[in-house]
Amino acid sequence: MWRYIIQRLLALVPVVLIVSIAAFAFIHFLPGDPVIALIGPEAGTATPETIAARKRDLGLDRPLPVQYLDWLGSAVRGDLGQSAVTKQKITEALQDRFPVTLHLAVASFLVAISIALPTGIISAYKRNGPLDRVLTVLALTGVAMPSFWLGILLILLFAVQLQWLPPSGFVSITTDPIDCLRHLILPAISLGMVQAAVIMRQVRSSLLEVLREDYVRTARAKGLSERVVTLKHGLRNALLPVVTVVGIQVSALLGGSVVTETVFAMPGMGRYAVDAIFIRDYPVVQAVVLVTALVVVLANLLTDLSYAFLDPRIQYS
Amino acid sequence: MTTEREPNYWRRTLRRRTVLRGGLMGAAALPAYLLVGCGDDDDGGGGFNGGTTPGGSSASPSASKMPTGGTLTALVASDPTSVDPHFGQGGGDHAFFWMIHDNLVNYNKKGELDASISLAEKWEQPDPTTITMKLRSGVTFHDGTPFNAAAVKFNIERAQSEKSAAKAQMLAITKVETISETELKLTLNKPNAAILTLLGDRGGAIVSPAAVQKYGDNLGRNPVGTGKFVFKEWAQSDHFLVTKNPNYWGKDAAGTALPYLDQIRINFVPDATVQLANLEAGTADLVGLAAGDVERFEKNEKFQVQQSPIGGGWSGTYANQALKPIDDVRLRRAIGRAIDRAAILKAVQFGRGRAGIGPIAVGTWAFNDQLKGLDFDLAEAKKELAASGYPNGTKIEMITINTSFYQQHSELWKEMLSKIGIELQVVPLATAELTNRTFVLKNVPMQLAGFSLRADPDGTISETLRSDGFYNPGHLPNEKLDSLIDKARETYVQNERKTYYDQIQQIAIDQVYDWYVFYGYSYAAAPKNVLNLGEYFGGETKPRYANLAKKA
Repeated sequence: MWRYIIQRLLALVPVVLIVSIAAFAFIHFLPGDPVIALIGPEAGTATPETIAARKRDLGLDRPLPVQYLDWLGSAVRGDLGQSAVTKQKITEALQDRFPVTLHLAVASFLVAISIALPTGIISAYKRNGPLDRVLTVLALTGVAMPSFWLGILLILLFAVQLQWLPPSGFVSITTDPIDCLRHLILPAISLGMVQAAVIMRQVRSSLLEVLREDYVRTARAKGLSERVVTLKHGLRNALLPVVTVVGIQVSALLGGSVVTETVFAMPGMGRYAVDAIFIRDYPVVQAVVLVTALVVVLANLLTDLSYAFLDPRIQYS
Repeated sequence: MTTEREPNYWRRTLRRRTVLRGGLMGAAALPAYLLVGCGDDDDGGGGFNGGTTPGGSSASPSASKMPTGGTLTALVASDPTSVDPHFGQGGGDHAFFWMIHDNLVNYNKKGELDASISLAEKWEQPDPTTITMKLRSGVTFHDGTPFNAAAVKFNIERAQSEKSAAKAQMLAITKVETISETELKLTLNKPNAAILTLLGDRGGAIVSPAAVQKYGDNLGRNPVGTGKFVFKEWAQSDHFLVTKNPNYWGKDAAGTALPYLDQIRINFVPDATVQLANLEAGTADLVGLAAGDVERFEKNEKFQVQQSPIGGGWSGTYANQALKPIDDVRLRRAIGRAIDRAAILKAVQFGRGRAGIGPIAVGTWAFNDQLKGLDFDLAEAKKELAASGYPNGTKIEMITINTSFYQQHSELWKEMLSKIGIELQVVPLATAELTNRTFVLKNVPMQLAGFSLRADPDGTISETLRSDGFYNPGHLPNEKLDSLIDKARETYVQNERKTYYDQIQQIAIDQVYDWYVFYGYSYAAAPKNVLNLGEYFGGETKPRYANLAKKA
């Protein structure tokens, strides 16, 4: 088991390296002079010396491979550099922002699971019945609905019309748990609904497949109730593909947080990336892409490891 | 430069009644359009708004007694790049650093230089290249250190340093001498009517020298000034908080100590719909409005809407006159005649604003609606085209900003020009790439965007029309125009300057340097318990939160 984990961790190194090169190259090959872009509208009044000084300041006057290796070397030591615009240390900024995204991700995940599991089970249990059809339509609507649009609708209903919840903002759970919850409900629903729809469909199809297995027939033959058969014998065995989907959804969750954090004005990592992209803050974009990639590959590793807990027959070697 | 009526112009003390209106600038409450040349540092140059008012108080024209106390929560889309007035980069930074810093010379909402709101309580001009100043005494920075002539010298030299965003603005000052603790002498390289107005912008904002020593390059996140509010905290992407400076030197006309508010909190909410939802839900006190939302809030009796007193620059299309096919002035005129400015204004700005004439925006002192613009006339457009080198029309590439606003605006251009046989190939791009292609690489004939208001007309005119102007990508030599631009900058009498600007603008219109489609206004909405909203848009259309008050 440990050997397997170490092997997997070592295999992550090239993946992360490739991601880091891609992140670095992507942002540097965007059209436009990066320094003019960073100086922005004031380029017209900046003197050539100012532009040259900015270039030197940002280290952009050096060859690209040198810039990359320098950046990578610092990143390995835990120093992701500083923002080209605000001069804030990126590692410090991420320490503030990662917990915000974590709040949103966990809350959205809880929303997704608490909607997807019961509806998926009901849908499979009542397969092809009217309830199944209604839930299927709802799930498809959930998948098709853009989360930012749902977010705006939720804000207009619950914040503007009913005034039950705040329209935007963020409060940490350590500051005020109740206020934290009030601020999290709408973004978590907005982001979680899309995930819920995907997971629900997976629960349904996976459960339907399992319910056709011989051991389920045996369980039924033993006289167990359909409820016990579905939940005890069916669900646990149906969870393996569901966990795979949930693992994949981590990256969707992080991707979705970019939009959700922007709509709900949450100062998380996704918003950090968006703001940085708009102002071409290279070091920040590179750092966020790298950290996000690390989170996704680690989530995938955890997903793989969780198979053994769900199915004792699985052995890692 | 000296008029007959004022033979001793250079020796006199400039008085309020002689104050010339300074230029106005800036784009404030996020109009839907985004102007490319808009920066921040709306600089420009300015009418020598020389002027002196009795020093001391009256920083606000409010005559009635304003309530004091309370927290105002305003929403803006994004963080400032920095709150260091000299080293920041963003057009949205001013609204933040003006709460914390005073300027050596400041202008009021009419764009007039006004000593009562300036750190210099008096200034004189003994000759065309010398300015002497008497500074306000007893003023301290938020860190307790004194404001004096040495601090001003330190600041101007800092604003002239290599990394400063205000360097180009401040280069006109060649020497700063401290005469005494409160007296100062500035020497200019040549007469410059814009310089005092520029001291009301980034270059003349005064930071604490002790704080610069303490924080170095990190001053942008730890600002210390003499202004109405003291910096408290800045949580990136979340909020920015300032608290009342209890030792502020200014009072309003009714004698109430400024500022009125205890705190100003600015929350960063990127989505415009969510900003408005916050306003309606009562979780925000002030939000900038796009033209399309104005009517809705005007009709809602819970809210008040404020329009900026002047237009925020011009929206329209830049021409690179050095590139084919628009190196042909008749073709440029044909295009100008084929564009129905009023129809575009109605379609994209809901009619809010004014159809464009020349480069100088409506409401500013140099604006002249009597100029002969290129009015919409399809028959005339066809005649010009027939006389051009492209009688059967042609294809032209036009790049624009990749937002829905510009998509709509460019579609109108495409449609209107198709009527005279010109096929526009519209390419939407991100602003950075847009600036790069048009003004750095100079490889595109037309760019639909705009130019935001500068503090003084010289900014707009020099940058977009002078043969070496960054925003004049064709750089065609035009000695007559360059000479007029220099004269307008070096003349201190506003009426004379205006005459020059009329001539300059008429040349720009006749030669079609660019196509000026409309001037848009900025708008803000607030619940009715927010007071003094008339003072919100400063003399450059940028937000001045520090002037506001709130009823409990």
